[in-house]
This record gives sequence, structure tokens and C-alpha cells, in this order.
Amino acid sequence: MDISQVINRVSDLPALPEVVIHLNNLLKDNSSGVDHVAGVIEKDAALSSKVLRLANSSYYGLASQVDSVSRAIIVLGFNTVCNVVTSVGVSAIFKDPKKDTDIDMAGLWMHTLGCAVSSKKVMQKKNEQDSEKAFVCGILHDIGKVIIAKTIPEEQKKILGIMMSNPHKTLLDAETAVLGFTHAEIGFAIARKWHFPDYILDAIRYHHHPASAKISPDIVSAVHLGNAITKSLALGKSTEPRVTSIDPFAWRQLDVKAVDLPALVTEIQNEFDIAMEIWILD
Amino acid sequence: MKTINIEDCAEGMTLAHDVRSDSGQVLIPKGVMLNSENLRSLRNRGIRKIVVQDDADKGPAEFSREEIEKAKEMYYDVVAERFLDPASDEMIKALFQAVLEQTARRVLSGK
Repeated sequence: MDISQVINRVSDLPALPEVVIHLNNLLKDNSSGVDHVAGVIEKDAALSSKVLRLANSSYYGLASQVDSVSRAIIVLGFNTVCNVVTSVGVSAIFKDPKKDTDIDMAGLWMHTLGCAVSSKKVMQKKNEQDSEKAFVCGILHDIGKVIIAKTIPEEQKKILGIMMSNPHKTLLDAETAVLGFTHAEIGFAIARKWHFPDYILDAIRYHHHPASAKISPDIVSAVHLGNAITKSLALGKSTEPRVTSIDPFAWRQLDVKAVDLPALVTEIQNEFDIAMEIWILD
Repeated sequence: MKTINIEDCAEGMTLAHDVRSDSGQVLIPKGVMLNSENLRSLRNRGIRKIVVQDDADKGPAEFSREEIEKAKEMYYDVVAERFLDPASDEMIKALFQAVLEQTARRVLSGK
């Protein structure tokens, strides 16, 4: 099978809201003003109201009430609001109202959220400024799994079958055997089609191989570690629920030591508890 | 709770407040038990005073070492199953232990 064949079938998916693609493009050049960006977001009323609900939640812990998208941008910053919009937009793709996929989509969304929170917390240890970028990369890291489950369900069954019959096979082994490529590669291809920024493409493509990262080894390492920590805490349910291996490159890249881990897992669990209340799909 | 100098801190004490850097970043969150490693890290960062729980704190998060160890024993297999090999390298071993401790405390708090 060829990746482009799968990508061409992606029109069957619930669409990523137009505003998400538009917004990511807008933020690539830094010349757009607050009102312009707010105007783009406000075109989608459902999305705007979610952004405001999130901006006012305990997750961001703001002192004052935010009552407009432009105010949210001023208080939280362009990047955070863009990430909130992207995350809300992407969450729609995980919805599985008829429960007709073979994987537990709600569980995968919770895993995704856990990975986002964990990646953000790990990133904060090294560079607070990039922590929101790490969050959105965590939200998108497994998007390829959703594409596989929803567009090529027969192959998805075969992948799960291999894993069931041989517990020593990892998900990556099974995907490669059935498809010739992995969820990381298909996710990279779809995110490129959606014109996501380079650091997101890098994180999706290399979240299992952070040492190969081309653009943003810090963020890719944060997602690699965040993914493993999320699985170790059993936050949500990934299709590969076990921590298989962790590339030592990632620990070194972000200077995370064994002594940091007790505090880190406590912080992640606490933040996930808050995040879960506001990011549950509805 | 009581505020004490870093020199008077001992392993096994539990933080009653977050320890923050000068810039406000949380270095170690409240509820974490001090051990030789995080104590050294606090000293290296030049933290002078911290707030720890004392006998007057009967908060729900206070458990004896014995209770925690018992809970860790009960949940050992549950946490181990989340790893292909929980002893594959030193960092994975450390992650496993950190998660086991966290899980034990969470179970004891009834979450």
C-alpha cells in the first residue's frame, strides 16, 4: 500500500475545521494583528465558544474573566490560542459516534490529551516558551492512528490481529508488516497536507525516533518522553499501551534525570486531572 | 505545617507548599516526599527555606511509609504490566519506581 492512496481517502474523515488550517497559515507569518486573528476564529461560532470556555477554565488559571476571542489572544498569547483552536479542531476527528472503528477512540483521545499534558510538562523543564508547542504536538502525535482506523479499517483489523497473536510484536512492527509504513509516517503526510508548521510535522514523524528530528529535537524529545510517561501512568488508552522503549537521546536532550521523575509524574498526574475535566469530548 | 531551613530538612519529610524558583517556576510540587536526590537538587539551586508537613497536618495525603510500601506491593504488577520490560534501562527503572510511588499515594487518597 502507498501512503498517497490512504491520504486520498481522507476526504471520508470529518473535516478539520477550515479555521484551523487558515489560522496555522496566518501564524506562519508574524504580521497578523490581534483583531485579524480573532476575526478568523470568530467565523466559527462553536469553536469560539469552546476557546472562551477553555480560556476561562481553571486549566489556564487566569485572574479575570475573558469574554472575547481578542481578549483571550491578548491574555494567553497568539500561540496558546492557536494551539487551543488546533486542539479543539483536532478533537473532532477523534469522535466516533457510531463506534464503528476497531480501536477505542475515546481512550485514544484521552491518551492524546495525556501525552499533550506530559509533553508540555517535560518541555517546561528546559524551555517554558516552547511548552505550548509541545502540548499541541502531543495532541497531534497519533493522528496517523485515527487516519488508519477510519480510512483503511480492514488493514487496521490485520494490525490488531498481529498484535493479539504475538505479544512481542510492537504496534510499529505490526503496522510495517501490514502497510509498509507506520502511523507516524501517515500522520506526517496528512499534517503536511493540512499545512501545519514544521515543528508539528517533525514531532508527528519522529515521535518514536527523536534522534532523527530535523527541525525541533527538543519538542520531538518532549513528545517522545511525554508519550512514554503517559503510558506509564495509564492516562487514556493507546493502541500500544505499553512503554516499549525510551530513546536515551530524549532524556539527554531535555536534561531530565532520574531524580526529576517523582516530581514530574506527580505534576503530570495533577495537571491531567484538571485537563480531563475541560477537554472531554462533548 | 512548618517552615524550616534547608539544612534542617531530612529525607522522608513531605512538602506542604510548592517549592518555586525565583522566576516562579514550580521546582517540586507540594505533596512530594523529600529524598536524598531532590534535597541535593534544592540545595544546589540555592533554595534556603521550605515548608513541610508536621504532625499537626492530618490532611488526607498523609500516609505512613509502611502504608505506602504496602500499597506499592499491591500495585506492583499493575504498573509493571504497562512496560514491555520495566528493568530495561536505568531511566525506565526510575520511571517505573516514580509511577509506582505515585500510584500508591493516589490509591491511598481514594482517587
